[in-house]
Amino acid sequence: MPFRVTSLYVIVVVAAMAVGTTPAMANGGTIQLSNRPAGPYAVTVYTSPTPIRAGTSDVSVMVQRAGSDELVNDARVVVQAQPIGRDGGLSSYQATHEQATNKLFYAANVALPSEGRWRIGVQVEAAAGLGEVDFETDVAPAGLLDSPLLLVQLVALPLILAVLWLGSRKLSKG
Amino acid sequence: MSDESMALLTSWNLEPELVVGLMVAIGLYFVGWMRLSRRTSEGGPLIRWWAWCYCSGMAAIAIALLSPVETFSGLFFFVHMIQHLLLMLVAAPLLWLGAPILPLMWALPRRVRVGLGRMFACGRPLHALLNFLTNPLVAQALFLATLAGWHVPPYYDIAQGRSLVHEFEHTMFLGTSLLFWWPVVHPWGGKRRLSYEAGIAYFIPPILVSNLIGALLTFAGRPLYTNYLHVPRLWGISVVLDQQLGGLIMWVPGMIPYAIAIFLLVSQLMKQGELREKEVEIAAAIQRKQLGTEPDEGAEEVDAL
Repeated sequence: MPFRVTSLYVIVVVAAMAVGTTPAMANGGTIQLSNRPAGPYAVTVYTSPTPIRAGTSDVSVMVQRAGSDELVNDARVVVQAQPIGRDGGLSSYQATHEQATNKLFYAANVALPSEGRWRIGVQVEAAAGLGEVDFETDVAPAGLLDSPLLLVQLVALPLILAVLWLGSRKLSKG
Repeated sequence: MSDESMALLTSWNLEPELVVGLMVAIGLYFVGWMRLSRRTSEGGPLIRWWAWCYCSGMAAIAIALLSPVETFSGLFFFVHMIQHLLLMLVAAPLLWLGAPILPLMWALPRRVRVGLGRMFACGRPLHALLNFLTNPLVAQALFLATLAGWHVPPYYDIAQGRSLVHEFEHTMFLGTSLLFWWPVVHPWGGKRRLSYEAGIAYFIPPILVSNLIGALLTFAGRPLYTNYLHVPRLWGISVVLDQQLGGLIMWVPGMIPYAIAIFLLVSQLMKQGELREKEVEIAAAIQRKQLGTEPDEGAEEVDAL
């Protein structure tokens, strides 16, 4: 295989692996709260990845008026995270539509640096007033395989490289 | 435009892995295409609409997995159904209609290409495996098992959310669909393993299964998938209405790709029939000429044909 072609393939594979290591920040994942009343609102909260691992997680919030399916799009949404039963302060993050993949949601990238139990709170403030909800969740130890696609890449890409190598080796012999 | 309409249009899930993967797949196809074109006069064996089909297939995958279709598939069952239909009934046949094997092989360095060619040569295990998987009965069984299996409520619910199982579900949908469409589209040339007549019959089981699933979803009258009981409801679309829409999409628009495929197979069959008729006519004319009956007329017929 000529050097420049080999280099090209290595670059493509490394680039694909590199983008695969970016944390998955899409909406969806696990529903932590479903239509939970929060003052004059009903709040639905998703977290991603599944399971939540130590590191950065996506917390996505949909805000609707209580008792209806009307969306509240102009709220100020703050997500708070605090470890339970061990040292660690309360950290706050503003969730916005811009950070969300699904623009109907408010999303924030929340740092959950240690494994163990965490309390996640969501504050919603809009014209109708203030609402608050929270839930507790377990955070698993940090893992390499947060993204399913990364796992696929880790299996598929070496396999592709092996096939390419085997193919060229067979030709050399043949 | 309202905020919600804007949100619908701008909610793209641009997963870098998928974007890079699709771009690499399209890039390799065109590198191979150009290499082949350069080596053969007037484009050689390549037909331009193949490239259109391949790119359309890739576009269908992009719409299914990157566009708001993906983003909203977690909120609405009927959007999830559209996503599955795009992968199974639009992307898969279009990719094979793009005859991608030759261009993709030619995108590889020569040594690798020839080596791969040898690995898939007749008599080799990989050839036997591919031959087995693309056997019409095997391919159809895998396709039907995937189609029906993932609609069984417990399995469907397990696959929801951003999980490895969900990725596996999509991979199975696309993978078994590629196997299913292989004998119909016959992208590798050579002798067809599925005649045009058999090809028409080949679509009967998936049509029946899709109709059955579509009818069950439409007339269930209660939510079958618990996942959608927990997601927020929007725009007055209840869980049951959402499910009914999904069933109808599978039932009616989901039949269109099969109908198009059957129409094309029938037209090929008619062309084949015409060719056979001509062959019979030629043979008869030659026979008449040899026997000396209607000598002038027979000779004219042979010349004309």
